[in-house]
Amino acid sequence: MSLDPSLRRPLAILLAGVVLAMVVVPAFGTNFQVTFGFQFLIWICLALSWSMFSGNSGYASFGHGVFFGIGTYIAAAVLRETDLPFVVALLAAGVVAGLLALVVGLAVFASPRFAGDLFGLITLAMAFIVMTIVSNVSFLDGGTGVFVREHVTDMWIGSSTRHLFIVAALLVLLCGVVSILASTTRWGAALRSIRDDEAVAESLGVPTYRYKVVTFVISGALAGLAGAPQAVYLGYVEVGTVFALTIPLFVIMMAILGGMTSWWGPVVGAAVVVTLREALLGIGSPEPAQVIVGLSLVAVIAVMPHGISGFVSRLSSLKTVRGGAR
Amino acid sequence: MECEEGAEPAGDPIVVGGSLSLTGALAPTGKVHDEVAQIVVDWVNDCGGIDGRPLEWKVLDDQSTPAQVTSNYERLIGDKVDLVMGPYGGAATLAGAGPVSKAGYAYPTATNGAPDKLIGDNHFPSWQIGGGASEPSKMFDAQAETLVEALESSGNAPKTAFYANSKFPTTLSYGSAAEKAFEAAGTKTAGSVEYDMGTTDFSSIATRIASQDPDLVYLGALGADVTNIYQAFDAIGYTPKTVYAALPSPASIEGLGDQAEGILVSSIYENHAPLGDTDIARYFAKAFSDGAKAKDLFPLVETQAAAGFGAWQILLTAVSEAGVDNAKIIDWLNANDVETLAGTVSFDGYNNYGSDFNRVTQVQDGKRVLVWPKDIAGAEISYQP
Amino acid sequence: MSVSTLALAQTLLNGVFLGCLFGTIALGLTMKWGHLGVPDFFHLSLTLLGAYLTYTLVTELLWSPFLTLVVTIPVFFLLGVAVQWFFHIIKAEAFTSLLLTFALFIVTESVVSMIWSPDLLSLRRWLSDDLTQSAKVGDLSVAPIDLVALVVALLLVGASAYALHRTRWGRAVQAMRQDGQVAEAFGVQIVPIALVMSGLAAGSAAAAGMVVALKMPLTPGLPLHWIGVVVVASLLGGLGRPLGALVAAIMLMMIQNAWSLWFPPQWAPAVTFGLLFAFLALQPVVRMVRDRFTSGVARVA
Repeated sequence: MSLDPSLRRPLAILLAGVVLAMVVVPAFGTNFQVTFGFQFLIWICLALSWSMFSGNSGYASFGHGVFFGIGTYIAAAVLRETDLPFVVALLAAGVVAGLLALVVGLAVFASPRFAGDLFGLITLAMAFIVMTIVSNVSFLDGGTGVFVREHVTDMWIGSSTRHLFIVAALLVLLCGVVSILASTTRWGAALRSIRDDEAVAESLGVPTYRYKVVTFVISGALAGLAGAPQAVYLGYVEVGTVFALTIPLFVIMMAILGGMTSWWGPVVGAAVVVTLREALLGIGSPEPAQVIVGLSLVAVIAVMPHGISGFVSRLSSLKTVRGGAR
Repeated sequence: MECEEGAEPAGDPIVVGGSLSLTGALAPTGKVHDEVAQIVVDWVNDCGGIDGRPLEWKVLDDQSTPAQVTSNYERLIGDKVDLVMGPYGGAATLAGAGPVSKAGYAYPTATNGAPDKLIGDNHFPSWQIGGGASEPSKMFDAQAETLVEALESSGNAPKTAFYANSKFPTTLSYGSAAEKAFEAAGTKTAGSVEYDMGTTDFSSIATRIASQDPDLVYLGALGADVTNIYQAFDAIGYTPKTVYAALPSPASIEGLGDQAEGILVSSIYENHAPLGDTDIARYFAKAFSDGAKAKDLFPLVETQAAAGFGAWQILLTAVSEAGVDNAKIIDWLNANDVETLAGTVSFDGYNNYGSDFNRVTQVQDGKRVLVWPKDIAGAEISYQP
Repeated sequence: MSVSTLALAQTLLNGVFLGCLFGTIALGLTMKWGHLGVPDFFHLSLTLLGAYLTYTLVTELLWSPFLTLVVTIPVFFLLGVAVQWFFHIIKAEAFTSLLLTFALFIVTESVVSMIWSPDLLSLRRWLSDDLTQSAKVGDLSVAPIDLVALVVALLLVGASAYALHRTRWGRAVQAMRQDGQVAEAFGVQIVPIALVMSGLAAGSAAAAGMVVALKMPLTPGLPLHWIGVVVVASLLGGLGRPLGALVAAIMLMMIQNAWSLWFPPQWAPAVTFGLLFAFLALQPVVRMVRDRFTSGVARVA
């Protein structure tokens, strides 16, 4: 499959960006910059993987944090119970999260009743169910939390945050490639036709069921993959913090803020939210800082209802219009 | 710690960095620790600083999120703080341990709720509940034993007990150790349930308890659980014989008003003789009470404030003995004991938990008073199931 | 563990009362979601604000909790109108509105923590014994606070259902939801209706907040615990159907409580949501079976 020209530019930009980050940050960055960068990259992965499905298809999932969380816990379980290398834990995390998405997707998308808001309900319910299961099954957690750090101190992955950063950067590359494909190829067009009018799409011969399930599975699997380095980073995982409801809320916020009209929208959204929060941490007034973050987001979205990428693309289309109409 | 009144500290400040949960679910307790830090820093500076240098406290909010804790400590260490103070809570402590240990800093902690997770030689806990245990699986036995002994001392050891534990690592560990200890002492388990953290509706659990009417209701409680379960008891018209709450927020106990009479709580400190009878304790109690009232926090010094203060005592005692040098501080602390508000701390056990500060508090006449062990008790336990 | 019928009846009754509280909170959410098309998470924050405001009015001014409604409901009505007006001015669409409500949700938690306290605040000590002492109805115990929850729920839900189905205004709302443009052509003024609806939803949040303040200790993070039940009840009962949300909330709480009585309570959320899942999943099967039996022709589900 030769590369479509419209794919070449975004892929090249993505690759360049990731390679640059991977080379520069671990080599020259301070510990804090690497740590901050790692968390930033993970948020980008989550925002991209959410937007790839929900942004394109219009099915807003509220349960994205679950795939991330189950990935974290599966990786923790593999690291705790076996001596297998981190790669195995990483793959297991992605596979299990993908399987969960598969089971849910097959059941939910089978009925046209579960469109729109009802889908959001299902994902939310799924989140609570998985949380309860993890919290009560001692293989996964059972309530006492899992101390991952003691199992990874001797491994490559656990010896330095720079190694975590590299893994995260590779994951961003993967998520980015998938997002680009999802937004510029026929796959993306099919998804967006579902968002615009599913019945029409179906009648035009788009296999909506297949597209929805496959995309949902990929989206979940990517989030699950991101959970694996997060387990190592946290060192100690407990249900309350890993499955906190604020995580999927923030992911959705980042995607909407960045705008879902371009594949890079969620990246920008993540950048804005993460940087804003970190910058305001230092002002010395914790609660006003949170208020400022919230109000800033309100202000931004009030000015740019289609998110930042929507705003930018409107600007550039205005320019071409103005340039053309002379 | 000596004090030179009126001496003005001058020169490069000694900066102590820390991450605390100043917003989010853990904020009420995080703010207590922030208040303690500010009191200590002001006090030290009023007394001429350390070696004439002023002390400075640099805190970052971690929003009750462990992932942010790691990032905060990296940031503080990157900003070259001289010393580090631990965060609040088990998950946060373990998250911060990564960067702190790698950078070779001493890591004093206040209430680390996961004492069985090994941090290392640089870990100096002030919430000494391990009692010198040498194995992680035994870290919570001492607190269970203390409760069993306390009840036995009343002459009316409970014949039956019902356990309701919040699904949180610390309370679950407490609860299972307590169940084992009580069974070994002959108290039958009338029932044992767990509930999700943040549960507000205890009606089913209250109904279960009421149907068993046990001599002791053991609540592995956090935060507002006590308030909510008493509400459920009221709703079904049941008065429990005696309730023991593990880690409730002090505000929830106080909020019970008269109903709190006789309730038992785990604690390491209450502000009365003999522990509260020193100059340091009195000064701290007054300063904390003033500061806390100004910020709408619980104004009495109990476990959290005392443990926080103790952590600072550990750090600053070591600094005054070994200087502002983390490696020397770590060596000195591992070889010495420190006098803290709650007692003498030694770091000889597993994960540096060498002392046993497990105590039991009871609310008597509206006041919180330590009732066991006898050497620090302010009153006798009143337990008649 | 053997459990008496009395205990079961008691816990089911408690489930009903708790369901009434959640149904009241869900009322505003389901109305706005169903008729204005936006899942408004800020509604939960408004309920929290209502609870804290009730707390202040009772503890500082020593008012009766019911008296506070005289102030809180009108104030919140205006607040609801103002928020909706803001959404209208910036021409927010579905996703944008969602983001806005999330952002306001986060802001409210910090604001509440700053103005009141991050620590828990309990109204209990200020309540007269009339409200807190349980009365016996037969062998069952009933707390007056719970009766308040029941009454408030019935009043608000009943009024909403009546307004929706029996008044002209209500029919306009339904028309607006079914087809906005056609409704406008027939003279239905969408913007004022949306404003009024938002105001009414906010007013209901004030009332729900009062019940919350009576029933449980307040912490800034409380709404996060409500999201699950309230959202599920709204969707299960049918968006825009006040009675549906109330019934769904009551059913969910009764199931949760019954389960917790016999089985480990920590599994309760999984069971409740799992049953919901099963209920939804089986719907097409149920329909298919029903179709086969009635028309004899298999219809595509």
